[in-house]
Amino acid sequence: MNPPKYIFHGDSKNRPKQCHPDSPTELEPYIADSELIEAVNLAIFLQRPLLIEGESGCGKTRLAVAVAYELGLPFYRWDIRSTTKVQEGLYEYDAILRLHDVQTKDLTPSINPKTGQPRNPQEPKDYRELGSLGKAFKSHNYPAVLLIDEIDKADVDFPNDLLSILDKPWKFFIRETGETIEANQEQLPIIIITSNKEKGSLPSPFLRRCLYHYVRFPSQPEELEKIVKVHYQQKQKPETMAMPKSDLVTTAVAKFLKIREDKSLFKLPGTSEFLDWLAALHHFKSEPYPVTELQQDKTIPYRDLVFKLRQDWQNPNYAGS
Amino acid sequence: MSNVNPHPLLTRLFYRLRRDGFALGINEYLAALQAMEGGWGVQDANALKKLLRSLWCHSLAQQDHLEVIFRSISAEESQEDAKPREFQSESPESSSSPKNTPPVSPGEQVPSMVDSPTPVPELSLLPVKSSINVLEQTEDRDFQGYYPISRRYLVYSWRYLRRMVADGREDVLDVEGTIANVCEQGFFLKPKYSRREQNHADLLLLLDQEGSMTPFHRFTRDLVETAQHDSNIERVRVGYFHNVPPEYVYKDPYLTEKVKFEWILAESDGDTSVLIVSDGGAARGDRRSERFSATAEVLWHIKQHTKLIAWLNPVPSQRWQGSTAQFIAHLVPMYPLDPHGLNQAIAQIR
Repeated sequence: MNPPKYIFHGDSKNRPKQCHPDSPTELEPYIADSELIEAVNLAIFLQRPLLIEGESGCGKTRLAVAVAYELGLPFYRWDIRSTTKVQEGLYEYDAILRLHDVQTKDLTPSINPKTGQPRNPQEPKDYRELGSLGKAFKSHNYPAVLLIDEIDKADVDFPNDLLSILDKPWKFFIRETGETIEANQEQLPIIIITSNKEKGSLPSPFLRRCLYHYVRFPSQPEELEKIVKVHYQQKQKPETMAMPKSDLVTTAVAKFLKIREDKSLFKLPGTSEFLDWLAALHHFKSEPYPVTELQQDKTIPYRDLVFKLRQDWQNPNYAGS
Repeated sequence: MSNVNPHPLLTRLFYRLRRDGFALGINEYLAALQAMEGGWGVQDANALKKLLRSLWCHSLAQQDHLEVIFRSISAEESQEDAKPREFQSESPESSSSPKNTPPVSPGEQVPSMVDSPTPVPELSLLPVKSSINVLEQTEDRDFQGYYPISRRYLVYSWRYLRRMVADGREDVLDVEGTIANVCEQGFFLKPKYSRREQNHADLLLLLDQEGSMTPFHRFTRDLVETAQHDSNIERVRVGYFHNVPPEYVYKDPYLTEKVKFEWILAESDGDTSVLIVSDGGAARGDRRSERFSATAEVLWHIKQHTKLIAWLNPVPSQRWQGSTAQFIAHLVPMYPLDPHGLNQAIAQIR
């Protein structure tokens, strides 16, 4: 067996010089722990989807972007809504537009945004638009990174329908154009699925196909500080986004972890809330929030950024005087 | 640990986890082998555990479970020669995670369990296997459910209760109709739309509350919530009662808001599906003629309006024998509250 060609190291410096044009261009600050990195590599090796679960705001979605960025692979994102059908991810066909174009051919033909040319009603391919899944299948020279975001929002049938696509023979048929879109068996897409577990659970045949990883909140202050460091180091504009002073970071981290230890909270704030809060502490006023005050204060400054539920916001432990 | 040959351990874990309700098939086994060929999980037992945690576990609960199994199997492995199968004989019947499974039977009915033999003293300390299994162990700690039927399964099942009528919004594009119009008129004027189909099913849920039904409150609440919010049934009415629906039923589970049962029935017709959820006296196991005759009268009243009626009984069917429920089951199709029973009940009231 050949050694795996693509290995994710969790380090954006490994990005190759030559990248696919659909690869994310913006640097993705992301810290993955070793177990998550291993899960990603295992998913790439076994060509199985990786299901990521965890609290909201822990960076589940960002992982896929980070993988695509580091490996320089094309990235396609599919946001799931409650009405999403698997078909929409494959392709959409605009029969009525074609009919319209036939009728108005001599007047105002519609323009194909991809080519900039008028659409040709005699060419059925001008009227089909590949969805994220379709594009990922079509990427033949590179495996695409496909993010299926918040799968639990979808209708109950969705995961099972998806299963029939994400399996052999890795192809689907477009009835309207007679095309068959077939994925390259050597370069199957790397699929990352996120779930919030808002409603019920996913069906077991679906889970069986997936690898599973639960993203935990970084419970050690050092981990959180590392995230802050990476986040600020990789930002593009240093003048507006200067790194907060280390004592402010340390105090904020300690305070934040203390909040998370509180069992009476209904919704624990996640990493993204922390980064917002830290930015507010540092930048919101002309002077950063005084560290000594933050250490002593019973109240939480800018708690609107930390507590997102009324019950938590009104929690007497944190409410301002 | 480094001298552990991972393959027999893998096979053993596979069978053990399957027995404990993990959804694993041959493909998952082969995937593990493939990963091991690729160099994952072969260094030592710990690496194998990490591999299986990603590959075979689909929730935190399952990951914790694997941890426990792994420890016990490794321990067994090391003392295999000395005392084979000691762990096996210790708790052959205990379910996958006994300490998480609360006993289902309400405390008050314990004395009336007739067919349980006097347990041997040392067995009495072991957790008793409950009649309700922890189904899909796929849930987060915060979302754990101990129900006989998972929420997801309920949502699925409600779909079969449908009476589709195309009278919804006129927003479904009728491609064939549009083309037919173009052919007829010779040019394209506008697309043709057809009406969206809507489910006109009418469901009346009658739920027994409190008393012996108390342990099932969480579940009946799910039943109501999924029918009302996660299904496309047009009208879902819920009536709560205690033991027997008498003259009045209640609109809320706390039995405070009274409505005349007659009024509810007056709004029902032959297309109304009635689903009763009650133990019918089977939880306590007693047989009372008053209860039976009162129930029979209510059922007679309902049958004046609709023939679509079914009864779900949360108590396992073996225990209906000899209780009031056994006799009620002659009057109305009664099904145990499990996935199969729910399907049969819904097929009955369709």
